[in-house]
Amino acid sequence: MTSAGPRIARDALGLGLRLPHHAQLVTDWPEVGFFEAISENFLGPAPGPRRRLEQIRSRYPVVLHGVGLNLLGHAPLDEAYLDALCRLADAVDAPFVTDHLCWTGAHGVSHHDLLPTPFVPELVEWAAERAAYVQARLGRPFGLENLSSYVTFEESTLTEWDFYAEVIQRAGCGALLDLNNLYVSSQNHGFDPDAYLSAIDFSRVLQVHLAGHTLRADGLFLDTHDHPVAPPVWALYARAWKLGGPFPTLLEWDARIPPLPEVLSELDRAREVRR
Amino acid sequence: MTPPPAWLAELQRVFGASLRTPLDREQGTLRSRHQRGLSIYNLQYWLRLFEALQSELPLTCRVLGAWAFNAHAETFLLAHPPVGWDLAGAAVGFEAHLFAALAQLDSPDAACDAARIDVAWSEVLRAPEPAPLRAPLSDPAQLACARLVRSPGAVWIEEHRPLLERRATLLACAPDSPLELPAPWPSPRHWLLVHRDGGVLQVPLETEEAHLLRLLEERSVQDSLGELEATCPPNERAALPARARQWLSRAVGLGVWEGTR
Repeated sequence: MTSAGPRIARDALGLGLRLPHHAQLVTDWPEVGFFEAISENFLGPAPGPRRRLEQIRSRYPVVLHGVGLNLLGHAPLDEAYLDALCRLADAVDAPFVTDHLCWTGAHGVSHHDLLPTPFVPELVEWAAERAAYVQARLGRPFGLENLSSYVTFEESTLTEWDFYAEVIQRAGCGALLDLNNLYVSSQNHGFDPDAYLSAIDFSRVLQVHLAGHTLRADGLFLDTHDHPVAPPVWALYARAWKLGGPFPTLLEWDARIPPLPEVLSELDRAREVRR
Repeated sequence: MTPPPAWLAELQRVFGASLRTPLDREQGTLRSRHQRGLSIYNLQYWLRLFEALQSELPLTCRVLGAWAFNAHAETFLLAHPPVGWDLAGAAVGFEAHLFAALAQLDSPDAACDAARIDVAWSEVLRAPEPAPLRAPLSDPAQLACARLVRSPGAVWIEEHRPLLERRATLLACAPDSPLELPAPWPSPRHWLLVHRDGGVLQVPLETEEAHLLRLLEERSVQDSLGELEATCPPNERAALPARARQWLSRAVGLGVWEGTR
């Protein structure tokens, strides 16, 4: 599917839109290639968030990133949610919309978390059909993000990267490659992050995510988005850029959010890393 | 559309139930009873929901302290697990659960007041900013017979302690332990909250003024004024018409009413 909405340069650097930065953003209007808004924060009836989003959209392209699609949930997709998402995507004229290759709820309960499934061929076709449906409903490119995860399933017969790449290829949709997630999962589950990278069709990458993580005392890596990007993730970014760049790159920071200049300096770092 | 593999629903039922296992509170901290990887999801489920409920009812959380607040939240969420994509929706019905639970405390007024303030605050912010009502004022006779319809962006509340005017200071306190509460007012105070300029405007109301607003929501303007006069002390009756006009005018100007019926 061809790109919709305002154009985002292929090498653009973007930021996750976060409320603590809003006042400074609409005062300074810093040079940022695009912003990514969490879809669910703007789907409700409250006028304040929508007004703030419109302010940002007046100067920058805005892409939407969801956490509530529940693509791999066993139940049918939530059509009311998709209706609201379509309206929001139209309102901001989003160049693309993304969510995760995961499930979030089942049996009527929403867990508000990004949960893994076994990686099996049986799920590939089904997931691809649903992702293709979402993309058609949106009428604009739709991308799936790879998860960070803390458990694996004995039932898995595919590697995570084969599962991810195959769903995207069969769906004909885009990829949102999160390099921090990739790194976190590789450390938690003992796989080679470069093997993952080599399975990626970079022509399908709508954007790459960067974020920070936390290493617990017991050796488990947590995808916390509360630190600067870690050196091994920068190194992975450099290798990804060499392998498949240019691609739009976005920095996420969701907890212990520092002042805007510090976040912007991470984008400068990204520029340096890929030189 | 192709149905999912049959085993998926069962896998998600079992996984979901593990996530929702209550955390261990016995050692004074919240700990998962699961091992390593699953414990992360278990902790994340509860901590994310506790945070969501705390952000919907922040003042209540400060008044009760996070530990006690989270215990109420856990009881509520076990009975009413979240549905749908809206995380804020997880708090729907929680205030009713809290009121029922708090009524059993020795002195529930502060926590109940805090919960009412939190609920009103959210309600106001979620509504459009109200605009002053103009049309009915042009015809006093028509206005007298009308019943006014409250704007969703305007809510009045009663409090027994100075919680609302000190809200910002109280919210800045660490949530871990209960607050040292300010002393109660000699008699309840009344406030009007209005969605204004992206925030919440707090307007103190006189007792009779608050009484009038409540009456106006339930009956016609004429009947409300009649009831107000009937309950007014005799020594204040002469000044009442002028004061009532002033209160009505102020409420209209603040956008308290969005129409008539």
